[in-house]
Amino acid sequence: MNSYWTTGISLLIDGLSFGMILFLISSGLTITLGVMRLLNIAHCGFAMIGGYTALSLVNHFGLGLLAALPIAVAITAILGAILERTVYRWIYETSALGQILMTIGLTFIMIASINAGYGSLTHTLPTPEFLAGAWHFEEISISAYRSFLSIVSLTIAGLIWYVIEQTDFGARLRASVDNPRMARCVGINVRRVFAQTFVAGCALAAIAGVLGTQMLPLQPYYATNYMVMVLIVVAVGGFGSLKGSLIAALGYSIFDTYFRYLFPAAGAFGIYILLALILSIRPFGLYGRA
Amino acid sequence: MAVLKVTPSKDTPKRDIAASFGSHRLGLSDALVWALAIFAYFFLGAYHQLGTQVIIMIILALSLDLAIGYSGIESLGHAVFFGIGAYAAALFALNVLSEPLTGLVVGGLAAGAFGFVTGLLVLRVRGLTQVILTIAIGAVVLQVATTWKSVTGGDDGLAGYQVAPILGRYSFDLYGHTAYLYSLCVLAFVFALARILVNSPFGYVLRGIRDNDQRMRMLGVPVAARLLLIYSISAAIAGVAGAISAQVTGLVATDSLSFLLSGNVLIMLLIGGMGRLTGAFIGGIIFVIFSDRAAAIDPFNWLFMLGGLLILAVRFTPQGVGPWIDRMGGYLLDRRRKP
Amino acid sequence: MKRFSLLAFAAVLASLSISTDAHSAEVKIGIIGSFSGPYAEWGVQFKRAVDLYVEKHGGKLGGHTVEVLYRDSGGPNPARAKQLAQELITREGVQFLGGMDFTPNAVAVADVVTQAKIPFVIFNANTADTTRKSPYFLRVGCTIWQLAYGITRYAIDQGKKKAVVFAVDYAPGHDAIAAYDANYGKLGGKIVDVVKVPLDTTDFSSYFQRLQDANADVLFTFVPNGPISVALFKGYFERGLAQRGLQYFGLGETEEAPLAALGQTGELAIGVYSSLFYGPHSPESTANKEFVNALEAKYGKGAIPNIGTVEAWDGIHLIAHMTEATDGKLDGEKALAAAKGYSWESPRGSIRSNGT
Repeated sequence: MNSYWTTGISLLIDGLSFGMILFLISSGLTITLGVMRLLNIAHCGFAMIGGYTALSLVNHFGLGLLAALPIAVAITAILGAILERTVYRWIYETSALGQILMTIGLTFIMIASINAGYGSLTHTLPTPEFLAGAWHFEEISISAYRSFLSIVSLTIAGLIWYVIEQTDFGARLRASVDNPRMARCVGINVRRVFAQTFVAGCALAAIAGVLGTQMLPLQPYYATNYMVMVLIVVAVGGFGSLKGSLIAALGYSIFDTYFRYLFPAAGAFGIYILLALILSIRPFGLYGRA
Repeated sequence: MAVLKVTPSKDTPKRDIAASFGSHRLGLSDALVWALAIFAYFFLGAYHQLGTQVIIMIILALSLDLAIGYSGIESLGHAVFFGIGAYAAALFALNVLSEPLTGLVVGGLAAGAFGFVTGLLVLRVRGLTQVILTIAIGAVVLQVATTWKSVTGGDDGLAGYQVAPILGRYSFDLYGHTAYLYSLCVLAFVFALARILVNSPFGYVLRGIRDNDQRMRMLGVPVAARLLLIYSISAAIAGVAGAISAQVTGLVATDSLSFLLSGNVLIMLLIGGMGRLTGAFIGGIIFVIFSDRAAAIDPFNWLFMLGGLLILAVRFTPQGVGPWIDRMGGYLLDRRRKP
Repeated sequence: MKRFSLLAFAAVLASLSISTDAHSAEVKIGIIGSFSGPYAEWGVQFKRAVDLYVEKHGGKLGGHTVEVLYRDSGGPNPARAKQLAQELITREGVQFLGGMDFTPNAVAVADVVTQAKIPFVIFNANTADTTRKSPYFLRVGCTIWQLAYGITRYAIDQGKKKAVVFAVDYAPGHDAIAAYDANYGKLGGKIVDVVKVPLDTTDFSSYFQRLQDANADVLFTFVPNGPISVALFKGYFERGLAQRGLQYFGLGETEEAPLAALGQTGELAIGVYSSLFYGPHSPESTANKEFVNALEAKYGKGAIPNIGTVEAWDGIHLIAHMTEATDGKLDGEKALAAAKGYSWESPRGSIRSNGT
């Protein structure tokens, strides 16, 4: 088979799996932005906490990655719920810049706590036995783990779509994003819908944090290092638009993967220029509204 | 979208009104601050390095205050202008002329021009979208600087340029004595400029736009043009701060463009209080000195404390510590005036 | 509105003047490294070794009480490194400086130490020409060329003559590329592709694809220990590059501590070659065993030393020697003269300073 094709297909799988990880992280953030107009800088911190929790479970309790995943996600979701009830209550009440500063503060606390507990070494989680290595088809070799990751996250994306489009909860959420005031008027408890979504967002971020350590290895500055990237994905997608975030995340990572392959030393240059162009034409993102 | 607003203190309305009309007069306390700064020059020689850093950050925070505090432009990407000013001044010194004052002007102009261009985009939107756009622009410029190694030196940093003595007489020394006085003079100039600016009709228009841009538009104010002007001025001042940094450090690295710096300046402004110029002084001094002391001991504990402080500060003193100090100062002065 | 920072200013001045003269040590030493950020492991290792050394000698080096001041550059950040060096010299009055993990940081302080005539013992920063930037630079690390010499030679001996290089895109990376190219070429090898990776890269898959498409036998690498090295090592195995006949000939990223952090890699690392001057199990000398044991006794089981630890240990040893020579007084020239030709037994074996 033509070598361009094999390379192209391998890169597509790489881009797709990374894009799905980005999407899982950004999905929670875009909802908080859409519903509460809250720019939660600490959002990536929840992915980090999920990852580190799984690390503890793997190292101290001898669990496998897939066994640790649900427990780590549940713990992160509980922590998210506790913070939502406490610190975030304060955060909602301040102005936009105040919110940013407070969530930056929360991020700092997360970084320092993780560093105190786990040290500064970079960690990744072990890949399950049956997903190690690569599958070889003719000339194409596809990382087994990356394929697994793409399938899992596509399933999760499908679930998110189902919940939002087909369930009562989804309808309430959509109403709250579209017009919070009106939603309140028709008897939707927007606060509660939001709290539930916030916790779900933390859980999604935690899934990404646990599964994505190969691309986003765990270290204390995880919470800040990837934040700008996630924010830009959300901005390009449009606040509150999951569809936008999905397209932006996939577009981002697939374009970036190909561009880096062709121009390795240029790094993220290509994608950032593209994103700048998109934002200058559509400041509210692909699916955003003013 | 609301910003952290300056609300007049309720206890002394009369003085407040008086103050808002008399605020372009220089008072005793102003003189004292500058006297202290000069005192520091003579008696705290070992701290001139740190003092220079403080002053550079004050200038940067002042520029951000003009944008956020006075005009309601919510920027979380002010480091971009700082970095562009720094790179411009360094490249100018490297390729054209090593004279520092011209370098300052070049740094300021470069950043101001970039502010003008990006302002066309950033000022089209408000609130959160604006915040994210400024972050995105910061990320793009940082990428460009990292990638364009032939010009910026990438991750190795840009060095190897010489800065000529100021006015042909005072050269930069290892101890930072010249750098301290130099940056102090620039600060005095920038502060005077900012003061004149915010007390001019233009300054009042800006505050009007910040509080209610709709109404200002009705009054016939060309809101977009005014905002673009102040955004460019603010960018230019940030660029001047970057240029000083490039000249006194003798090196520019990509961290001068980082999101972290943008965040730090905002934190300084929050600590000192927005929309009051003096907030930049208080915040800059407190932040730089505390982070210097704390980071020397343990950077992670410092991060933890800073995180906690930020949350508590926004919660309990959304106007920063500036108003407290005013009140304390006012109390002292009141007592003195009473017979 | 204007009666502001008077009190703040006074308070700050007061706090400064309190903190100035609280120290009584005879000799002050400043150590600059990354204590925070993704590369904080360097700082951790530096500090462990230096603290252990000073403690072992009862807080005295060369017969003088010392105080070691640590400063954080937070990763590769030349501007910050330069500021820190200036502050340590002008404000704290240090007599010796040490540390430095990243080359750009070390190069940035060259002017400062030359002007101040303070000896700077570079622990790592292993770009070849770094020590030429200032006459006051001494280095207890190595150069990339030394490491590249051994590993290219070994690759050729294995009959592998087609290589691809994976290096980080900044000065040390370029140095490594040049070193691999020169040595390997001289020995009859051929480098078919060079993959330069920006320091802040997150997803490395495109770069791995390039490595794979190069169709080479040998993978030469140069990346700093941290997120990049972990991703590189992990990706190399995930993609089955080993099975495709691309053999790993690396440098520091194959050290014990980062491998331990990767988890399950015990068997993974078999078949990976690396060229380094030190490891916790090599050399198998008593000096090294004592060193490893002392570290574990002080910092617990997981405290495996790496090159950063041993470099810092040797660095502070050299500083102790210079302190003895200057009798605790500030004299850069005399200190440098004493360092010249000085040789000692280190956990890594015997080492000698050529002192230039």
